[in-house]
Amino acid sequence: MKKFIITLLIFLSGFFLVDKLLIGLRNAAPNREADKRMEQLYKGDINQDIIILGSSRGARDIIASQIQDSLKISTRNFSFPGSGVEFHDYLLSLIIKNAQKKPRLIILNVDDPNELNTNASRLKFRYDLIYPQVKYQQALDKLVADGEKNYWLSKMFVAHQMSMSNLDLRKQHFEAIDTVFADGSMPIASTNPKFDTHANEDQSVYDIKKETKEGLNSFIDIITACQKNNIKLLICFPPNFYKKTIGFEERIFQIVGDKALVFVHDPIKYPFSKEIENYYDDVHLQRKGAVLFTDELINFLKNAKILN
Amino acid sequence: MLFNSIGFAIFLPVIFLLYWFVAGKSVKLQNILLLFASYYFYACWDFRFMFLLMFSTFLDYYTGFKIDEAGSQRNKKVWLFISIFINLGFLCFFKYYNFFAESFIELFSGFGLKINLWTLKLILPVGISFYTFHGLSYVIDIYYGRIKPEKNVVDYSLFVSFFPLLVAGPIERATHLLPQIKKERTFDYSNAVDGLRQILWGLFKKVVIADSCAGFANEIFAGSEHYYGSTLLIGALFFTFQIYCDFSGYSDIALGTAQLFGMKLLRNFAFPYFSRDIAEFWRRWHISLSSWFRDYVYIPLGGSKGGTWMKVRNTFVIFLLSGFWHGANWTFIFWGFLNAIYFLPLLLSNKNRNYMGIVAEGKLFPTLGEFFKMLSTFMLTVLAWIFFRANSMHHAFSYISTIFSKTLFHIPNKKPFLAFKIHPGVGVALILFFMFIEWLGREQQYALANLGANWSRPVRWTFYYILLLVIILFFGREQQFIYFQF
Repeated sequence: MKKFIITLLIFLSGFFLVDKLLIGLRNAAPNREADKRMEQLYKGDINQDIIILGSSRGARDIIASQIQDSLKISTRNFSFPGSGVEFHDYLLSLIIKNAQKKPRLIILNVDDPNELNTNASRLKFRYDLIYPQVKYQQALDKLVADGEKNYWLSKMFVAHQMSMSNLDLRKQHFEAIDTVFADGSMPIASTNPKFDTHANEDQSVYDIKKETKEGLNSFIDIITACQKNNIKLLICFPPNFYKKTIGFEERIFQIVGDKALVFVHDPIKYPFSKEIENYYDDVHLQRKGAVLFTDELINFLKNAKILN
Repeated sequence: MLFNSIGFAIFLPVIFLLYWFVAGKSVKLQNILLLFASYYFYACWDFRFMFLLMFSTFLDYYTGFKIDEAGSQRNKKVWLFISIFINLGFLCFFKYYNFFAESFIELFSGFGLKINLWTLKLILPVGISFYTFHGLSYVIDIYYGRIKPEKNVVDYSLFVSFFPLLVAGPIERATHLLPQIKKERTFDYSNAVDGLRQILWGLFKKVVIADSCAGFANEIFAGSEHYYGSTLLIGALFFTFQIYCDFSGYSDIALGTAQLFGMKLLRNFAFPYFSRDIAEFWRRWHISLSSWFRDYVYIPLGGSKGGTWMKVRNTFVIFLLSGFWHGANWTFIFWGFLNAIYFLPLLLSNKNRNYMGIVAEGKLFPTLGEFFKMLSTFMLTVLAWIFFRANSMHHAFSYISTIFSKTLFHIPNKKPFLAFKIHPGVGVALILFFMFIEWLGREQQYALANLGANWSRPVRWTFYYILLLVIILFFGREQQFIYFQF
C-alpha cells in the first residue's frame, strides 16, 4: 500500500510539472490566429466610435472603412461569420468592459429570420474563437461560466485551460473567402457557384415559436446595455436576395420600441438589391453590393444625425 | 455523481483511503463502508429512488429465502413469480408505462377509435434496468439450486448496490460477485495499478472520443433533413464510436474502480468492432447483458436444442427483448429485430460459432479476408445504430434513405462541424489513434492492459501523461453516459 501511494504521488507530481510546461503553448496561441479581432477585444485594443456587430451578413455587407472615410468617425467591424445574437451580446460586454473609450454607436446587423432563434444551425456561439484566447482571464472565465471548462480543473491544470487549437502550431492564414480587412470587414469579390438564384421565389412567414429564450434575452440585453452605457444602438436590416420573411421586421420593431434606432434597407430608393450581380449568394452581398449598401447606411446616418 | 465528474474524483480517493486504512482489517467493516458509499453515490442522483433500490434489494433478499425454504416445487415457483412480478412490475411502470399507453392510443386511433389513457410524467430511476436484473439473476439462481440464499443482509445489499456497477452495469451474477464480497481482501499493488490504468483508458474513451463524437453526431442527427447523405454517413460513424466509447469507457472505469477495492467485475466488452461476423459481435458487445439473456431467457426457452423453428423463435425473442430492454421506443425494438435478421443466416447455416477466437491472434495485421469481414460487420452495425440513435422510425428511415441517395457522393456539409472546439479532422485522427491502440491490445482484457509492459518506466509514464493531458484538455461539460438512461 505504501509503495502504491508513493508511486501515485510521484506520478501525479510529475504530471503537475509536465502540465505547467504547457503555459508557453497556451500563451502563443493568439499570435498564430490570422484574425486578430478577438485578441483586440480581450486586450482592450478598441477605441473606435462606431462598432459593427453581426454575423457574416454584418461582416460582408458593411464596409467599416467606407463609413469612417465618409463620416470621418473611426469605425470597426466586429462581425463574425456564423455567430448568433448570444455571441454578439458577449462581444458587446467585452467592448463595454475593455474598450479604451466607449463607442458612440453600435450597429447591430440582424439576421432574417433567425436573429432570435439560437437553435438555428447556422448561427452559433463561436466558442471556437474564444478557445485560442484562454491566456486572457476573461476568455477563460467565459468558458468556465458556460460550463465548457471546469472551474477547479482550470485552476489546477494548464491543460484544462487549453483546447486543440492551442496545440495547432501552424500559423493560421485567411482563406480567400474569409479574409478580414484592416477595418474588420470581410467583403467578398466573387459569386458563390452554389448560389440558389431561385431563392426569391417563395416567401415565408415569421414563426415566433422558433424564438428561443436565450436569443430573446441576449437581444434585449444588447438594447439594455447600450441604454445603460449611453451608447446609441442602430438595428440594421441588410438586403437579402430572398424575399423578406413576413412579420420578422415587425417583431424586431416590437421588441426594440423606442429604445434604439432601426434602419431597414429601402429597395425602392436603392434598387441595387434587386440585381443578382450584387450578391455573393442569397444571403450575402458581393463587394460592389456591400459598397452600395454601406452608402445607403451612411446616408441614413447622415440624415438621421445620430452622431451629431 | 458521474464517473467523469469532479465529485467522483474526490469521492473515490476518500472511500479508497477509508476502505484500506480505516476498515482494512475487517471485511465486515469494509462491506458496510462500501454499502454506505454506494447508497451515497446513488442518492447523489435522486435520494427518493434510493428507497426503491432498498425495497428491490429487500424483496429479493426475502424471496430468495422463501424460495429456498419452500417445501414443494409449486411453492418455490409461487415465490419466484412474486419476485419476478414485482421486480418487472416496477421496471415496466417506470420505463414502459407511457410507451404502452401511447402505443394503445395510436393503435385505437388507427381504427378511428378515440381512447383516453393517462400518460404520466415519470422520471426513470437511474440504474433500475441493471439492479432489477441483478436481483432477478439472484432469485432465479436460487430457484434452480445454483446458489444458496445469502444470509448476511449487508453482503447481499452490497452485491446489488456496489457503486461501480450500480447505475450501468456490468450486470453481475451472485455466483461471481457474492463470493468476492464475502472473502477477505488484501491490497495488491499490481491489481490496484492495473485498476488505475483501466480507469485511465475508460476516461480517455469517454471524455476524449465519446464526448467529441457526441457533439458531431448530435448536430447531424438533429438537422439530418438538411444534410447530404455523405454528412449523414459521417454522423452515423461518429455515433457508432460514441456509443462504443461511452459505454465501454463506463465499463472500464467500473471494472478499474472495483479492482481498487480488490474485486473483479464481469467483463462487458471485448473489442466488438473487430468482429468478423454479427454472432462474434454479440459475443463481444455488452457481454453481461447478452449472457444474462442467454442464461435466463434463451436457455430456459429451449435454446438451440429444439428444431430450427425453436432456434429462430428463441433468437428473435432475445434480440427483441434486448432491444426493448434499452428503452420504450420502437426504434430500439427495431434495432433488436434488425440484429436478429443479421444473425439469422449464420444461425440457419450453423456458422454462428465460426469465430470464437481473437482476430489475427499473434499477428500485427489481419489478412485481407479478415479485414473485409470486419469491415462488413462494422458497416452492418453502423446501419443498425442509426435506428438506435434516431428519434423515431420515420427519422431513421428518412436518415437511411438520404444516405443511400446520390448525395452520398457530395462533399459533406460544413455547417454541422462549425463552432466545435475540435475540427472534425482531429476527431477522425483521435478515432484512428484509439482504434490503433485497441487493435494492439485486442488480446488483453482491455487495450492498455499490457501495452507498454516492456517499456521503461519513463517511456510508459510519458505515454500515460499524454493520455491524461488529453483527457484534461478535452474535459468540458460533464456529459452523462448514454446507458444511464436505460
